[in-house]
Amino acid sequence: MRSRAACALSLALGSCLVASGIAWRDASGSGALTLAELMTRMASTSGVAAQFREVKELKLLVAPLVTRGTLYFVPPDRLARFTSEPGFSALVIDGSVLRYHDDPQGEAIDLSQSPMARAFVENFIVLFNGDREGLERVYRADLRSGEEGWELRLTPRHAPLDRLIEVITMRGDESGMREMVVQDSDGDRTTTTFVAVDANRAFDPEEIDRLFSSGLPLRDDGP
Amino acid sequence: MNRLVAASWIVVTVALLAFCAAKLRISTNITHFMPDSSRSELGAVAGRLADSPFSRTMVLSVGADALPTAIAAAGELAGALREHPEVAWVRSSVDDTQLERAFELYYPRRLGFLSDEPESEVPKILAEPALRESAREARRRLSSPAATVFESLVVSDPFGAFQRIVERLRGNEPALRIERGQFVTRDGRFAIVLLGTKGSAFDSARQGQLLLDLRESFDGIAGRLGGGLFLEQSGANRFAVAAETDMRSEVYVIAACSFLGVAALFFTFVGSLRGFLVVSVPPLAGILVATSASLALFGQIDGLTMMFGTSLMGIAIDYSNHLLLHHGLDTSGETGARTARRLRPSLVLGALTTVASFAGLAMTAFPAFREMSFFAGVGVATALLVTLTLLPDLLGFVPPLPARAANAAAGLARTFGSLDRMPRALAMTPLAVGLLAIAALPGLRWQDDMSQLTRFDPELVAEVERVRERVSQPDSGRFVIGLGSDGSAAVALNDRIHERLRGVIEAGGLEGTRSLHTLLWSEDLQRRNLAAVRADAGLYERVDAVFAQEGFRSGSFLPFREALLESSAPLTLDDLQSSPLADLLVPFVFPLGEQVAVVTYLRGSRSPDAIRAAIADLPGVFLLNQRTFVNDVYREFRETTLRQILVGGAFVLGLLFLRYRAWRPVVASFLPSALVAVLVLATLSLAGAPVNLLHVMSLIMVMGMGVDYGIFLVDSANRREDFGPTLLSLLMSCLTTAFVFGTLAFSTQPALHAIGVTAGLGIVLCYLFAPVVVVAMGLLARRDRGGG
Repeated sequence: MRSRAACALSLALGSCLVASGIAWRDASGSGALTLAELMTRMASTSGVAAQFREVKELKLLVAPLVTRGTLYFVPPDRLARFTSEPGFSALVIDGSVLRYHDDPQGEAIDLSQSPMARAFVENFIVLFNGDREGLERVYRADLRSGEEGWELRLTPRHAPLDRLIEVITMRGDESGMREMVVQDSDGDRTTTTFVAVDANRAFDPEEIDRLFSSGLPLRDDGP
Repeated sequence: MNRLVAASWIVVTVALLAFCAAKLRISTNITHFMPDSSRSELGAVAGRLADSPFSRTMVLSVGADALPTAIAAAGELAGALREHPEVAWVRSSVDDTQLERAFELYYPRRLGFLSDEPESEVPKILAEPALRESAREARRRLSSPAATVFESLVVSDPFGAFQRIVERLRGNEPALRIERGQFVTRDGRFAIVLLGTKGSAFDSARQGQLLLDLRESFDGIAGRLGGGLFLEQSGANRFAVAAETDMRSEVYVIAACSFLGVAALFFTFVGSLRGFLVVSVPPLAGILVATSASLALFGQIDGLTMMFGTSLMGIAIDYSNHLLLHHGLDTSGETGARTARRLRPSLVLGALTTVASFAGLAMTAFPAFREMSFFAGVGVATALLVTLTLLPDLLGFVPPLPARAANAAAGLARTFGSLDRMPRALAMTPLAVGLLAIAALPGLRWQDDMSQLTRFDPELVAEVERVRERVSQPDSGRFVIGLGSDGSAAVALNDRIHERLRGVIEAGGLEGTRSLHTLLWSEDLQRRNLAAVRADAGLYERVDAVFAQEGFRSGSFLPFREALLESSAPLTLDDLQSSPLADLLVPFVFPLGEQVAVVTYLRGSRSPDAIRAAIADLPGVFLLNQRTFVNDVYREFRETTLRQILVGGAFVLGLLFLRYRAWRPVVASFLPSALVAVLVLATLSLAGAPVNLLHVMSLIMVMGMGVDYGIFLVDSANRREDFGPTLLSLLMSCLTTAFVFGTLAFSTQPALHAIGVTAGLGIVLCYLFAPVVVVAMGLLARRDRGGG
């Protein structure tokens, strides 16, 4: 049960992973971006803050669900994702620790010992360390780029991820990544678009403590 | 003594020594100081709780400069402890296996765990407003990162029956959270490991080794990881091992001090090492035989019994000393055997009255007191036997007594003989004691708090308290315990306890509880829940309609319709106990003798009376306070025990009547000890010292010796030349006893201190009162004869 929950959490975090790397640009300006370049720049980012809008199209619901929130990335291995609409939730990765809670005053659930969560955190670290080989052990990566932008498709190679996710598609242009689509195996689809991206965000110790120790978004973001 | 007899004595002695050396196990089991199960249900519960999984749990708290270091060390320590042969289980986290298994066990049975009152509450849960709220909550959860999991569950569990179970389970966790897969305290300062031991917490040998190994493992880990690591521990076994260590060292010190004090006294009046060694033979034989017999009968000896036994030397040496002095001060050239024959009636009666005074203890409900009574009886009887059979032959090895012994005997005879010139003062003595008793005894304070009998290192107590506070909620010392004939009955009883306590919570008498009820309900309650859900014939259609109105696709909830038709057997205690969740049950349900106990821990109990009233009519259910329930047991048994002590006194009086068949010698023998008992209690009352059962036990021993003094003096009153030696013999007895119990009074253990002070004061008073009463009775006899 817990593994399954962690698996679901990891899918949601997938968007965080890539979104936190949206601030790079193709250095050559040619548009012929390579996966290696993408990975290198992910690893070299100084810090990211971005707002997102997530649209979930679930076969269970007649109309899509819309979620809004903010995410933060502090290199090399800290990431926090908070939602503000329709309700509060927080997912925090701090090194090897992964915590989730949906009540600002509530107790966070530590998922670090879940094999699935551990695998996910390891993937996260691999990605931000620029470990292309590591990433390709988990996903089949297919990067295409052209004048109108680029598209990266990540297809899970192994269980249990491949049973849950069909493909993750990220799209962006010279200004960075704009959209990510997670297509679930059961037909559900989650589309995340990123706005108000600060690719050079510097976090002071108090902000880092609030985000990663207290598990709360920065004060100007709510909840 | 011929060689064959001597060889036989030596062989028996060596055999007994070998037996004791091989078998000697000192126990500090608190259950020995609790009434046995045949006398009281509460006593049985208390006794069994003291040696149940309840007391076999240890809490280890690992601190460090940084929490990650503490977590790493705790993880390594938990791993090492899992391999230890004395460790039954270790919990340092809630692992994935437990969660997966919990899902498998509970999810198919979720509809059986909806409500404690299914007939009234389930219809409300299934009513349209509640279903609409469930639909809205489901939408909210679908927008969370865990939506994928929730989406697969909501279609078969639309109103969150499983979520209710999860929330209950989460609420039952102790005051801990999980960090990096490790229990840590809420404040995030300490990593916590819980473990259960296989053996009793009071098996100090096994527990001592475990604690030693535990410390060694941790020191190794701390040495490797550094980072200011430190370990603190809580567990009943820590107190047991500390008590055993303290007692063992004190036994040696007390025995050595007694020996030296008694030896000094003998050098003064007997004047030779040989004399001392010879008179030491009977009491040493008494201790050896009593230890062997106790080991053979009980398998082990309680620590306090052993200490009491070492003190026995002070009583048993009186017989050999009496014989030695009478033989040594005899001027007619009497042989040792003849002196022994002459003194035999006094010695036998003295020993019998001593044994009789302990016989009352044998009838109390406390195994430890029965053990002490047995030890004293066997020890005194053996010492008497050796005094009468072996000692006369050994007296030939003793050099003549020094002149100061004869002078002292003559001086004592003169001093106490002069009492008959003060008849008024003699008559006033019992009267004065009586008046003092009337004034002081009503103020006597009884202390039933038996936790005060053992004193521990304050640092150990503080450490244990600190660790307990880290893992416990406030007021964790109070709990309700219920006893069922089997697991199923215990779970059903637990439902009823939960129901009653919920009423107290609603009335404000209690803040909350933690119990088995969060993990398991009775089969009957599960069936009633399921029946209440199935009784709603149009439930599926209504769920589908309400959820559709809230944006869900119609027809999505077919798995729920199937779940309504499925029939899973109710979850049972056996199911849980054979699953990876078994560890979670340990604090809440365990075998207790022939029964199964269920424990409910109380939080914020503002009204114990209301709790007691709520459970009053539930059979086999008790409200207990972990800190004071033993005291309740003692309070319940105090009167019974006192009655048994009076029975002992009646035995003594009966023996005296059998021997003397006249009231004056009986009064002369018995009254001094009775006066001493009254005077000691009055003194304790006037000093404001609370009295407990150990004070009373000490008085029994003193009274036994006091009666001996009376008997020896009464028997020697008819032979003028015996009066001086008897007074000297009793003075030595008094001083040796004062030496022995004087050392007990310096013990750090309050129980032994109480015995020492009471017996020390009592025996000196016995020595003073015995001649006074004998002389008074002599005067009375002369007056009666003169009058007649």
